[in-house]
Amino acid sequence: MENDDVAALWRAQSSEGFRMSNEEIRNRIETMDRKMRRRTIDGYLIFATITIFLGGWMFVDRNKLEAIGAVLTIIGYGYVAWQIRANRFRSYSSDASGTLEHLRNELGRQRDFHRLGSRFWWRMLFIVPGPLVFFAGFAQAHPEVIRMIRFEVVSFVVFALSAIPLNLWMARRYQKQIDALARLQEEA
Amino acid sequence: MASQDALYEEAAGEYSAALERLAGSYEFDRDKCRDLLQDIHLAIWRSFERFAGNCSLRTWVYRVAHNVAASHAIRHRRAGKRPLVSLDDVDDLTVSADSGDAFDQQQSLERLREFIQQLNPLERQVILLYLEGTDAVGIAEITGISAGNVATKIHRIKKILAGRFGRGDRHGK
Repeated sequence: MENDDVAALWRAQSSEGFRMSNEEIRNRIETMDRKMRRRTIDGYLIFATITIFLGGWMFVDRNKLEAIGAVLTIIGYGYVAWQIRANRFRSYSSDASGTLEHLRNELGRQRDFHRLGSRFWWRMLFIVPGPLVFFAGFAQAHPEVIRMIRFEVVSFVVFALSAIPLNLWMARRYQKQIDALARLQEEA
Repeated sequence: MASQDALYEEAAGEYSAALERLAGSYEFDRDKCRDLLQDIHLAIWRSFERFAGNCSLRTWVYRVAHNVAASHAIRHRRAGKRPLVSLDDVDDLTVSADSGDAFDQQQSLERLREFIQQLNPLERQVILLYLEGTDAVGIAEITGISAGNVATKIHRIKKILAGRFGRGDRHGK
């Protein structure tokens, strides 16, 4: 088989003639936007529930450490809710730049997500300390469950710490791919 | 300038088969392929909001479509799968063994798809555009790689295709 035959064979594949009507596209975009709005509302609801629960809890145990933990947790989730709000208008990708540039941006985004100091890590930094302090306070107020809470907290910390090298490894992997693209451009 | 709807109509009419082949080369699974194809069509429709006619419709459509597919490949790359390779490493690839029936077009197509799916997104795009009949200048315009670099890659692609898909015929003749 000659190369032209391979190309002809490729182009001769049977086609379903898939296409969408403009109406279908608008409906689908509307559905996607609705889903995104729903997700934003769900985020707010979770934040509101946590705020009400922890706010109420502060008056139940009246433990200082618990109260600090509750406030930190509310601030942390408030930050996440604010980010959800800030990103709610982010549109879907329809990038028409050259693939080289597009891939570099895409890989860069993935790398930055995993790199220390990214929005993901800031989010973790805001979310994690609050519950830890809260549980420490809870253990102080209820010494009978201290062993269980200690086990939970240690497991959580170990899990959170193990995510650091894993994410750094992922960031390095994406960086290698970006470097490969840069070499390709230098060769040009 | 034509409206967003009119541009999409024209693009879908002209390139729907090529877009299907593109989606099929990224996803073997029928449902996932259809999802990807829908995403591509949506992205193309959206992109026409910004289309100013600075390049041909074909270049624009292929850029958007390939960018959606490349993002899809990066995001949905399953853990534990073999890493995507470059054309330069292609000799180390394992493709399904030739069943002996080299004339079977369906088998050849499957082998071709399997081969394409193992390539990294950029080189996958180059080979797909080559198979669609785009010349080196056109591929360079769509990918952003220099025409010289594209020509080198096409030379390599031709060699690989001849090695993999020419062999069967020679045995058969």
